[in-house]
Amino acid sequence: MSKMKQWFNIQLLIGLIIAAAVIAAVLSVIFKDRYTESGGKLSAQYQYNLEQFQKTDPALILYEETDIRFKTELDPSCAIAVDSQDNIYVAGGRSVRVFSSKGKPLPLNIDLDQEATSLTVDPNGRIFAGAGDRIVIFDSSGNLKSRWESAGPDALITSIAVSPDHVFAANFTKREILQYDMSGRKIQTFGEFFLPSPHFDLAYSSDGQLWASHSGEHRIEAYDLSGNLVSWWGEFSTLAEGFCGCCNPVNFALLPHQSGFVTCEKGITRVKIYDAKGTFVGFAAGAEKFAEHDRLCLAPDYDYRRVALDVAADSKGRVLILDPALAEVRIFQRMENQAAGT
Amino acid sequence: MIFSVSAMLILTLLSGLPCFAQDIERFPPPDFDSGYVFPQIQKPLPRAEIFQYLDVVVLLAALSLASYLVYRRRSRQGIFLLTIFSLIYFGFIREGCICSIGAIQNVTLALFDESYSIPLTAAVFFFLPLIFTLFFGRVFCAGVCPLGAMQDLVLIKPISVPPWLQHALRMLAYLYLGAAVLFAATGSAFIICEYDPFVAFFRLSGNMNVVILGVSLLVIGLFVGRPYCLYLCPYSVILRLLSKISQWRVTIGPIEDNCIQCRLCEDSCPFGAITPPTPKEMPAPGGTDRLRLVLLIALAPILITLGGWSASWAGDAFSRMNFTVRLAERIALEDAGQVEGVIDASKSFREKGLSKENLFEESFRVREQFALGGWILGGFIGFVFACKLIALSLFSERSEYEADRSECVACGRCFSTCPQSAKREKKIDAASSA
Amino acid sequence: MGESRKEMNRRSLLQDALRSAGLLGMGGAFGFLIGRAQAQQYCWQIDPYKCIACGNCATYCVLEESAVKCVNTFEMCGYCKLCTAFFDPAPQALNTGAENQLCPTGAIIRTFLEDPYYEYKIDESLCIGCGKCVVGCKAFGNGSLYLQVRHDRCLNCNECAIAVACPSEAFIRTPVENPYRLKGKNHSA
Repeated sequence: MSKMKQWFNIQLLIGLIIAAAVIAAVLSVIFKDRYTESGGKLSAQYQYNLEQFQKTDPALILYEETDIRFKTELDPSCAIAVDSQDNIYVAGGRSVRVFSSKGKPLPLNIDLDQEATSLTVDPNGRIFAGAGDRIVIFDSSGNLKSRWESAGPDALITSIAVSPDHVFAANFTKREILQYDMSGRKIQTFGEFFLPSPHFDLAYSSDGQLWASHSGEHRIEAYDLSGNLVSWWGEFSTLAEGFCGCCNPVNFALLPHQSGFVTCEKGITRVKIYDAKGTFVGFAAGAEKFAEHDRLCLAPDYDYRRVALDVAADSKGRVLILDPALAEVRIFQRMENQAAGT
Repeated sequence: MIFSVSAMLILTLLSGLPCFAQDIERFPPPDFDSGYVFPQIQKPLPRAEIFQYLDVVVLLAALSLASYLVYRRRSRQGIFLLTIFSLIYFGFIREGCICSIGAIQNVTLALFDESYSIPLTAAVFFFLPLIFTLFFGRVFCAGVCPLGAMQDLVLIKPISVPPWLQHALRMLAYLYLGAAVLFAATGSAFIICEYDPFVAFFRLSGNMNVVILGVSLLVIGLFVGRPYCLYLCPYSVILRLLSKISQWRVTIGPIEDNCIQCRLCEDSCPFGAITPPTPKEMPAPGGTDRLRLVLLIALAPILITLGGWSASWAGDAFSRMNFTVRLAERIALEDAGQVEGVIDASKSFREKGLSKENLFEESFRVREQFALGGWILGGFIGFVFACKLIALSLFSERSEYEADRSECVACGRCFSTCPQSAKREKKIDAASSA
Repeated sequence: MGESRKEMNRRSLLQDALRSAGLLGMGGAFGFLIGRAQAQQYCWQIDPYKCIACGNCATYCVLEESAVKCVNTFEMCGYCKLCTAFFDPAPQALNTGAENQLCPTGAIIRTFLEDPYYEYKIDESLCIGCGKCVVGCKAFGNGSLYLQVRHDRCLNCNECAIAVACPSEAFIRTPVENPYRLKGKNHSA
């Protein structure tokens, strides 16, 4: 009995409690989580994850990358174009640079007085550059031919398309297309576009149609030369067939001989091929090819001007991709076996 | 240090620039036909500045009242009520921030980092209690500090802690202060705030580990008087030092030099702050004591060097509390292929495309600071240790039961135990009734 | 006795001297620091151009429900019909059904304005500050959604627990006169 009493000694009990509390205190200090390595201790449902959509089915990849890959040395690089000899033109910063079809810089170097926003080269070799709110035209030797009037104080010419008699300019600010005659006189404006982000691309096809990207509706639309909507194709889908996200495609180009379209998307950065009717054919380059671009674009202070890929197709059907994040041009060509198959 | 500060300033400026440019050139929003106007972003404001000044006024009032209650009224009850008030105001209403203990770090950071400008309240909360301590001893601990209040209220069954253990445990506070200053000076962390044991109670929410720490300390506090104040509080280190030279001191009885050595007060202090008088027939300090003193003084530089040397080794481990050091280490490991994948911090760093050289350089600089800081911290601990040993071997004569100047938190528990107090009360009563 | 009194005097003289030195020193330090500080008060805020919306804000705040919430700078918003901050990356249908929504707590309110524009507002009582929509908006859209410390909730801790955990040093002390870091040119300080 007295032994029991000793066991329940109050002093001992207090000592034990204190010892336990000291141990708890020490452990709680040692194991306090001050920070976590990733994901803020949140479960997967709180994480935004695009990974599964960034994987490309290898069977759908129709193009392979060539060895030609070169830096534009322009910041920010904004637009790419090719002329009838397959020379490569890149606009960026306040200038336009020209490269051979193999990516070697050519001596031609054009300076602009405003930051370049778009670029196109017509079949006669004339260079049309969008410089913020206006169009500036140079001949094939780089001599200034004409500097047109401003399309509005805050106009943003994000693309230019040239038909034999007209010049079309995409004005992102007003979300409309400006139609000029060759002298620079404005004929009309047309179109009503829903464009959440500043990407608005045009292309003229030799069958007399003007194509425009309508990214908010995930479409590419065809207009006649009077500005009437003729047809359109494209739909939203995060899967390969459609255009993903809020507003895609950001840019597109026509493949030679009216054989189809090549389109660029942002968010899930991918370059895809559609046929002339707008049916999905395959990938020119999947998101895997742009991992470095995506990594840079995810930075919270990243400039929107360096996000959207631009694309052009030369007479051999090569796909030229301008990556403004890395300020480089990459060239993809159709794979032989795939070409044989089709 | 100043160099690094200006470098940081330039960095901040530079990193701010592209944002500005981006905002200016932001693309135009859509035109709405329906006359839609953009909604305003709601911007609820922080607590108005005027309330910060209110805190300062309340602090001043509470300190004055505490001094009055301790020295004029000598009222444990009054101090107790003030304690409750402080717990409610500084604790539960102000939710524990800003507090004088944490303000150590603000002051340190402000001294070392020019770009950090200290809030007025933080400066006042740091300095005002110190000034009061210079005059009245630790009246701040008695009735104003909400952390002290919390512990004072839970003390139900005090046990006595053996003096050797008390002396040893008190070293923790010096270590804590040294570490807190080191981390604050290098801009790495505010550990006093991060590991504040009671702030989670004041806010009624907080990190689970900190809650456990708080509960543990309260459980200890049931039996051991004010464990945080006595053994951990970094602010108490400064207060102890200053109260040694305070103008007035807390006395157990109402009149000094009037102790009748009745020993009634002996067990009244739960904090072990009452020192008994020295025995009358004490042998005069002889040769051996003197030799010991000389030896201890000779030992001091060795202790300081030893402490500095050992802590400089720990400096490297300490430096991992610093974000830059941690990030640089991670980036280096990832680049060397010694760890797999990325973490949020390294991913963010790589996204921003910042220079690794700069990061490594900055990390190296911080680690150098920690190596030097480790030396200073260790040396400081060694010095404190030596001082402690010397102080313990010094003999000072006391003829009364006294409240130890530096240990006494002026709680007033002992006041009523002194028979002199009862006499005084009677006199006051008589005077007031007359 | 006389000897000891002398010693007492010496001691109190020393104490007086030390005390005066202490007072002087503290006064000097106080004046120096405050003079430099211009009596500036600070509060915590997130620099949206540094924030990577990692999710720490939802879990590391000392408050049960974080003081950090999502805000939308409407001037930057695309008013997208297909908002990638509102819809799951691959929604089953483009309607406001919970299974199509990205936000785990359903804190984004989608309102039709006029064809084709929709407005997106945050219901702060539901938002937990996880930042999932912030990443969704940034990935495809304009980045008009971002996280901010809401000062009606923030306790303004001396050391912010989220700031300690922040992997991108996005938490900054900002003067109370200008307590928000909003995106967009109309809001830049």
